[in-house]
Amino acid sequence: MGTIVHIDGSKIKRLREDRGLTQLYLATVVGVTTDTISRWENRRYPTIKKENAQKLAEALDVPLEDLLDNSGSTDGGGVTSDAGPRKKFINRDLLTGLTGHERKTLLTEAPVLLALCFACVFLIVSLNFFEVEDVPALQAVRSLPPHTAPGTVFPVVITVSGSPESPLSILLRDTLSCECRTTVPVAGSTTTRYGKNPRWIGRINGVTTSFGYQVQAPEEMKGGEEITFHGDFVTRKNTKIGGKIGGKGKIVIAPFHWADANRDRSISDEEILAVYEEFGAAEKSGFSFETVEELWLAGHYSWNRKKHAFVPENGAAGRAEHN
Amino acid sequence: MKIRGCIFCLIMLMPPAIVNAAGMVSGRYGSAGGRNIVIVVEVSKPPPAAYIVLQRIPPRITVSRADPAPAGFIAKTGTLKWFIKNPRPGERTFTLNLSAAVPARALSGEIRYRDPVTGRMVRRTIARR
Repeated sequence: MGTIVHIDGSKIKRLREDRGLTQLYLATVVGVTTDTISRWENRRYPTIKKENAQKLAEALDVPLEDLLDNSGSTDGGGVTSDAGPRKKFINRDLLTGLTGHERKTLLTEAPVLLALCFACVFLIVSLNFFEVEDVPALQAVRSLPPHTAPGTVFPVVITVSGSPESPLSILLRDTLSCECRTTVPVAGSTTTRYGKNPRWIGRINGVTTSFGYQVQAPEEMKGGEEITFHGDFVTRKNTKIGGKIGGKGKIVIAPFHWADANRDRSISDEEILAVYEEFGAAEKSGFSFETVEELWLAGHYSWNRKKHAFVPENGAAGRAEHN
Repeated sequence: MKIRGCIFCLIMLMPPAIVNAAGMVSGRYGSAGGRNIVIVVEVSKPPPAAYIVLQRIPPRITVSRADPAPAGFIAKTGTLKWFIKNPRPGERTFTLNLSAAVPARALSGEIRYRDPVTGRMVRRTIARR
C-alpha cells in the first residue's frame, strides 16, 4: 500500500503561481485532472499519495518536504507511514583477527585482484560503451522526410532518448520558417492546431519516447524552396534539463510524395517499410498513412499541381476485394 | 587457486558484450498444396515496425477467401500483398482458400522487412515443409 502524505494546498497554489504554471501543466505532469489539482489547492490540508506529491514537487521544482503540511506533525512532516529505521554501518579493521599467514596472503594477492577488477571493468566498458562518449542525459532528435509537395501534409517525429528517471514530463517547442499549418496531439485523443510554432507537453515513459505532429506545407511554396525547423525541449526533475532539438532541420519543396525517397514516382516496399520504421510514431498522434499505402499499392503515382494531390496510377495493382 | 577462482567468477559475471536484438521475421507454409494454403509467420522480439508478406498465385487461379484480408493484389505478377503494421512478437497465421487445387511446388512467397540494425530491406523466402 502506498504512503499517504498531508500537503499544504495554499503552498502549492502559491508556488504554482510564482512559477507562472497553469493547473493544466501540473495536471499533465502528475497525471491527474485539473479538477484534482484545484481540489488539492483549495482544501487546506488534503491527503494525497506520496507518489503524486513527489511528482507535484518535481513539477514545482521544490523538494517534497516543502509541500508537506508541517503543522502539528512530529514525525517528519506530514508523512503518515514511513519506511523502517536506517541501518548504520560500522567501520572495522579488515585485517584484525587474521593470522600472520592470512595477512601476508591477502596483502600479496590484493593488488593482483584489484588489477584484475580494473582490467575487467575496462574490458566491459570498452566492449559495451566504447563509442558512447559525452552523451547528454537527455537528447531530442527530429526526423523529417527529405521533401514534400506544396499543400500536402507530412509527419514530423521527435524522438527523446537518454536515461531519465521516467515517467517525466517534457515541454517541446518547434519553430518553422514557413506559414505552415501544424497539428499537434494533446492529452487524450484531441489535437490542437498551431501555425508555425507548435508546442506541447508530453511524457517520457522509458528510455526512448517518440512524439509526432503533422505539418501542411503552404500551397504557394515553389519547388526548391525549403522549410526549416528549429526547436528546443525543457523538462524538470530535480533540476531543469533542456536543450536544442537535433536531427534533421529542413525539408525541400518538390513535386514528389514525402515517402518516395528516391523520387521515382513510386513508393516501393523498401520505402514504405522505411516510412513505418521512421515515422510510425506519428500514426499514434493521428497522422494517417492511408495515402502512402494507396500509392504503394498502385505502384506509380502522379502529381496533380492544381489539386495539390497525388493520384495513384492503377495500371497493375489494386486493393484486394475478398469476402 | 584463489586467484583462478576469482578470475573465473569475474568472467562468469561479465555481461555479454554484444546483445543481438535484431528483430527478425520468417515464414513457412503450415499447409501447402491443395485448395487451402496456410502461411505461418514468426516474428522475433523486438519486432520490426512493419513487414510485408507476398504470396504468388498461379495463373487462372483465384482467391475465394483470405484471412486476414490482403492489402492488395498485383494482377501483373499474380501476387497478393499483406502489409502488417506494428506486429507483435510470436506467430501469426495467414490462410487462403483458392478456386482450385494447386501443387505445393507451384507456390512461392516471400517476407520483407527492414533490418533494424542495417536499415536495409531483408527478403526471406517462405519455407516449404
